[in-house]
This record gives sequence, C-alpha cells and structure tokens, in this order.
Amino acid sequence: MLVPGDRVAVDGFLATVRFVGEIPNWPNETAIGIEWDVPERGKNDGSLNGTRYFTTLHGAKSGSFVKPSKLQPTRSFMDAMVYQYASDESLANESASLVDHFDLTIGTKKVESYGFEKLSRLQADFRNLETATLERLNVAVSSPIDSSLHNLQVLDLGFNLLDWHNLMQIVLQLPNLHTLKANGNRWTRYEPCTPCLSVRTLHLAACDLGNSQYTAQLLSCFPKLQHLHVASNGLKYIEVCGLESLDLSDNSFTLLSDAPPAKRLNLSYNDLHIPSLTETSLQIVEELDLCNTAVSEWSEIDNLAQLPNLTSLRILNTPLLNSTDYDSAMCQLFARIPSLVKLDGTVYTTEHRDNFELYFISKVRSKEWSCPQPLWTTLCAKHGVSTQETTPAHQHPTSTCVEVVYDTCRFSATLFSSATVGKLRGKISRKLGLSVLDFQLYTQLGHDIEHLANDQQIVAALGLANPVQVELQPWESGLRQQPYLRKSGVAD
Amino acid sequence: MEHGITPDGYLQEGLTRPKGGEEGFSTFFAETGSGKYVPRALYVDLEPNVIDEVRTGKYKNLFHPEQLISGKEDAANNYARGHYTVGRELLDDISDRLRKMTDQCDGLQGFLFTHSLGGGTGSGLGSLLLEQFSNDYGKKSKLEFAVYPAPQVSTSVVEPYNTVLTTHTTLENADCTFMVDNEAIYEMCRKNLNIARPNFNNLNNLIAQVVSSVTASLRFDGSLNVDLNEFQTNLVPYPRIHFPLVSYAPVMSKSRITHEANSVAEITAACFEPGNQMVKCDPRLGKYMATCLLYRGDVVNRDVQNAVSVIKSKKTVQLVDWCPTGFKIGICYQKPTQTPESELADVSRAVCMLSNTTAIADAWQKVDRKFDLMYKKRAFVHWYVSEGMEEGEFAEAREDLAALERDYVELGADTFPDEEEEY
Repeated sequence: MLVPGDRVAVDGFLATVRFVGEIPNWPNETAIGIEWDVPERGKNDGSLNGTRYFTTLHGAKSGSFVKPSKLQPTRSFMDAMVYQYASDESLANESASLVDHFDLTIGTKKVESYGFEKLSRLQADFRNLETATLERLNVAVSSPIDSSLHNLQVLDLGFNLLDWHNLMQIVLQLPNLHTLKANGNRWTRYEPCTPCLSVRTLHLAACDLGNSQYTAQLLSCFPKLQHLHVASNGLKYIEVCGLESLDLSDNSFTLLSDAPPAKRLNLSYNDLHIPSLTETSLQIVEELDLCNTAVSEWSEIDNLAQLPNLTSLRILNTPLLNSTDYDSAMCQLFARIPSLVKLDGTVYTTEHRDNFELYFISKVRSKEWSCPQPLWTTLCAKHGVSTQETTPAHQHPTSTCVEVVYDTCRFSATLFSSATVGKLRGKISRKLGLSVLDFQLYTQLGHDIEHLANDQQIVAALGLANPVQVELQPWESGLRQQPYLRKSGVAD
Repeated sequence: MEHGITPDGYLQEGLTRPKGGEEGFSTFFAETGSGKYVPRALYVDLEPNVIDEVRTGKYKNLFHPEQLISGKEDAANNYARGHYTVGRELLDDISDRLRKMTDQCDGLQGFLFTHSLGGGTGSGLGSLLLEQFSNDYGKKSKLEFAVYPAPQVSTSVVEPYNTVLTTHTTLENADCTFMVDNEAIYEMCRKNLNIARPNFNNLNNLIAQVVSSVTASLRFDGSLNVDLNEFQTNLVPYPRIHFPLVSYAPVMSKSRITHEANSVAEITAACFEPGNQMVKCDPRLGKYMATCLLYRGDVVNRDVQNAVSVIKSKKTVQLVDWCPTGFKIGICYQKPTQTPESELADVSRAVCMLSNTTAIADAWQKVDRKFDLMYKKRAFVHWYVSEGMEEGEFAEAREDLAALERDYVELGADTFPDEEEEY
C-alpha cells in the first residue's frame, strides 16, 4: 500500500506520491496523486476541478493523478543485479559461436561482437564485479546481499526508487564500497541509521536536497566522506567540512562565502558573486570553478586573492570575462591572483606570469586598468619598476608644430616630438603629392640656411623657429646612401 | 597508471602483480631484475629540448637513459633533413638500441609509431625508421599514430610538403595509420573540456587517452583485437587504405561529469558525431568500410545491443556493399584511468570507435590542395633540394597521394554496376 512520500515510476518518469485516495473522476478506484521529478511532465498543481488534494512543490504543472495500474513494477537490489549482470548467462552458455548471440544487422552486414560471452560469464560471477551500474532499474527495496558482492567498489544507483533507509541497508552490506552514486533520487524520509565508514565518494546530484529537510542528517551517515557531488539540487546552504572536493554546480548559492570549504570547489552555474573572503574558512581552497557564475567586477577577483592556496581557477562564461577579450582578462587574472598557476584548464609557467604581470603594470600605468594599492606595490617591487602610476611624457608624447612653405602654399604639420625629419618628409610628400625623392627641405637655423639632409634627425631637437622651405630638387646621389622608403610607418 | 605503476617504474603500494594480467601487461612493459618496470619504448628526436624535458620531468625514472635518444641538430621542419642528412646520422644508433630492446621480447608482434606528419623529424626520420624496420624486421606489423598537421593551427609553412612526402614513403611500409588532427583535438579541448586556451599538454593528454583506448585490447584481456595483426585484418581491406578514423567518447570535463549520464547508449551515439572524431571530416558524406567499437569499463551486453540498434536506425551510417567485414564490437573490462593533472573526468565506461571510412579522404584532399598551391610556384622547394633531395620526389609523392584520393573515391562509389546496363 502506497503512502505519501513513496517513490514511483510511470512510463520511465520518476515521481513522488503526494496523495492516495479517491477522486470523483475515477469512482471505485484508488487514485494516486503524484508529483513528477521533471516538473514539465505534469498536468496540475494537486487540485482537480476545484478540489485540492495535495500541493506541489515545483510549480503549478508538476502534479498528476494516475491509476495504480500505471505504476511500473519495482525490483529489489539483488533482482536488479541479476537482471543487469547475470541474465545473459544461460544465453551465453548455450550459444556455440561467439558471434551468434548478437543478433543485429546493419544494412546487409551482420554485427559481430567479440568478448561478450567471456564478459557475461565474468560478470555473472559477482565476485569479479568491482563496478556495478543499476541506473533506472526501479530499484525500490533492499534485500539481503550475498557475500559474493563483497568486492564491489563502485555502485551507481542513480534514478531509482529507493528510500534512504533502503539505500543505507544496501550500502552497509558492501564492506569495500568506496564510491556511491545515487543521483536523481528523492529522499523524502529519514530514519537514523548506522554510519557508513567505507564510502569516500558520494554523488547526490539532482536529488532536490534544497527542499529536503534531512540534508544534514543524510550527509552525517557518511563521516569518512572525501568527495561530494551535489550538483543541481537548488541548495542555498550546505554544511560539510574536511572535504577534498565538493561539487556544488547548478545550485542557488549567491555568495562565495556561503560555500563550505573544500580543496577543490566547483561552484559553476550558480548565480554567484565574490564578497570579501578574509573572515571565511575557504582559505584551504586550491581549485575553484566559477564558470557561468555572475562574477562581473574586477574587485571580486581581488577578493579571490585572499585565498592563499588558490592555484587553479575556471572562470569562463562569466559577465566579467565576456565583457573583455580573453587575453587581457588572462593578464589581469594572473596579476591579481598571485598564487594562480592554472587557468581554465591550462597550466602557465612563471615566464608567462611575468609577462602577464608586466603587461598588467603597463596597462595600469596608462590608467586603462585599475589596481588596488597593496597589489600595485607588490607587483612593482617584484619587477623593480617605479610605483609612480603615470609619467606624462610616456603617455602622450607632446607634439611639435612645423610650418611648411612650398611655393605659395603654406601649411603647418603636427608631428610627435619623437618624429624624425624622414617622417616630416613623408608627411609633406603626401600633402603635396610629391615623391619624397623629388624635394629637399631647408630651414633657417640662426643665420644660416640649413639643408635638412639627415632623415634620422629628430625634428623637435632642431628647435625650429622658422618655417621649413620645400624646394623641388631631384634626388642627389651620394647625399643619402639609402633612399628613404615611404613604407616605413609614417606617423600622423 | 592503468597498470598500477608509479611514475618511477615501481608498482603502486598494495599491488603484487601489475594490473591487466601477465600477458596483457607485458605487451608494453618489461620487468627488470629489481622489480622495476620499464616501458618498451624508444624516444627519438633530432634535437635535445623535448627529450630533455622527459629526462628531467616527472617520469625520468621510468625510462632507461638508453631509451631516450636525441641528436644535436634539429630537422628545421624539413623532411629532407630528417630523412636524408641529419636523420641518417642517428639511424645506426637507433637501430642498435631497438635491436637490444626487441631481443628482450618473447614474441615480437610489431611496432607502434607515434610521430607527426608536419614537422621535419616526425615526417623525415619517422618514415626513414619505418623503412629501416621494414628491412630489419620484415613482416612484423607496424602501426602508426600520426599527428596530422592542423589546417588552421599550423606552425610552419612547409607542413603540406612534409605530410605528402612522408605519406608517400610510409604508404607502403606502415600497416595501419591512426591519424590525429591537432585542430580536431583543439576543438574537443575547447568545447568538451572547457579549456579556454588548450596548450600542448592538454592536447597530448587527450591523445594519450585515445591511444590508451585503442591499445587497451592489447594490454588487457577479453577483447576483439587480441594482437596487432588483427587490427589490420579487421580494418584494412586494401594495403593502401589503412587510415582508420578514430573517435572517442566521452570527452568530458570534471566539472560537467555530474550533469551527464554517460550511459552506453549516449557514448555510442556520441562516437558517431563529428565533434568526437580525431580528424576533422564528415563521415556522413562517406561510407564505412569497416567499423570497430571498442568498449571499456562497466558495460553490459544488453545495453550495447540497444545502443547499436539505435545506430542502425540512423540513416547516416552507410556501409559499402563490397566489404564482407562490417561492424564489430569488442569489450575490455578495464575502465579508463586519468592522470591527476588531466582535465578529463574519471568515467566508469568509455568507447573508442575505429572506422575505416571513405570520408577521411577529405583530410588528404585538404593537404594536397595546399601542397599544389605552393608546388605550382616551386615555393620553398630549394630547402629540400639543398639537402640532397631531388625535385622529382615531390612530383612522385604528389602523384601517389592523388592515386590514394582516387582509390577512396572509387571505393566509396557504389560498386557492382548492373551488368545488364553494360551492353
């Protein structure tokens, strides 16, 4: 007899029983009100024709009423093991040829398989099994497990109908189990049970733990846990400690400081910001995944620098990274987080880091990027550069104005202070449409008329007081060893 | 790692025998007197930089110093230098050491080459060694993993030349060549592993995983290809058509693994998607001559049958009419292992597909086109000629590749024309 809180499967979809009783539509029959794990699958919110029978947790369309005949039959754990791993045994023994028991053709070709007979035989002897996957097999109850399964180390019970109590009964009978996957289940009830000391890795993704009141108790059943995966659970808060790795992706965390400490922390797909972290226990974090989070300010990255052990960071697809190109973002990230070694899966060497930091310094100098003062001082000290943020001469080279006279035409050319006579010639040649080889420049310096023959000379250094005269004159051989090439980067 | 061996060559704590059974294990490792395990491998490069990294790196104790051979002068991306001038100087040295190593083998099955097609050492010296091995060891099978020059991620302009030249030389000597396209791997790293800027470590990591999957059947019991020779028998219908397409699934980052189910059906379907192929080409446009699916890890018969029947229902998988070998499936019970630095997620099952498809001719077409562009103007040819190569070799190699392309077209075309229509 079903009671609310039980788990059922209908047409391959999993659901939780919320109501058992009669509804007017189906007189003389038991109706079961269920809430689907996939909210889009349902038809109502627990009320039918104006009468409320139960209330759904996940929106107005996640509930349905079904007849008991629609429920799929359930299995016990051992039945599922036999179904998955041992049902081929008789078949394999009978078939004379290796190839025959795979009865499929593609086009005109027969599909041939090798090794499956051996595999079937191997698997049918449960003593050989170290990994077992019993996903979506409607396992609902535990059963006494015979000792042949004692070598089992990895068990996947994802998307089944188990109660926590039943799950623990199975787990406690497997002494060597170190990895337990139970994704996609719902834990509606909890009874205190003996803690399991063997399991080190636990997967509880998509178990709706955010709405479960037992989350803390459930986790307390595994005191030796090192790796926990609780992705897609709608969690806002979770209390665990001493973990090697913790996967909290696709949950509802809003601040990094709310996350519990773990050496490897995955917070991708959370709508998350980074507050100041000095007061938190996150200091032990070494690897952090912040892909697809809401990180949008460089000041948040500066907060990350407060994690002294952070060596690996993933931060793709955040508003911050999308607002700039990846290369400059990379420079900023490395400069701002001194302990960083690995970014988005790629390891960078110390030479890379030096380059990034120097580029960062140059950008801060030119006021394009900003940088908090303590970091600035450290970086400058490291690379032995002055902490002076701006040196105006470097930033905007002052320009010189040169008066040019050609026949009756008179105009002024503006040049960088570093421009050479060659550049001036280029400028004039373009303005007047003359080849650089066809004219010479003269100017009055003091009392003499000076011929500006040296193209490498800096115009500003001449201290021109008088206009530059342009005289049409064919290029004299011997005056310059190499003709001035127009191509070589004339600065306007 | 998969055999339970630590980076310094000893067994991991708690193991008395290496994993994978005595037979499988000894394919690639030899045990020394002191209980240390040494891989049966030889590293060869014409310049010392890269090999020095191995000599000083994490695995420095795994290799015997004699296994790491490096010259002093590199091949400068020049096939001729690798094949004729600089490479030839090292040849005797390599042959000696190789002889030493093969003498330690109980039953030599064959050789596994890993080299590039675009660079000078990989293409020149690689093909030279293949020739040499053919002379020295006769009919022993020679399998290659060749890194195909990526169409976009190219480091040198003469890559098409090197590729065409080396392919021409090895076409007769290698028995089976698995090509790995750097660009395809790069894309996989970016899209599937979320690595923003994959570097060569990332790429190599993924390639290693694929190589491991292909060779899993040699190293562990219970599988389709029990020895190297059977690889060819299954996949190579003609001696020249020996370029199977490799695809691998799942390629998934650690952070995404909890969001994906990775059932047998899913990884099988993923294998037939261009995104999981090691060479960029579209198999939907070509025809399959032979296909092997090599499963690893926790896989049951029923799931595989269901997955294959789904593939069957897809119209895109077309097999040629004339080839008797069709679709083979093998399994290896050992699940794949990841190095700790790897971005790949630890999974309990994986599948590697080797398929000889006519679509891979795309890859040759691309490289041939680029070869033609340059060769029409004889660009860069002088580098090769000055190292003692004859210009005729270029034309000859190109001709050979054109023939290869034609072979593929011919094989893909529907054969057996109706005899009635011939009259």
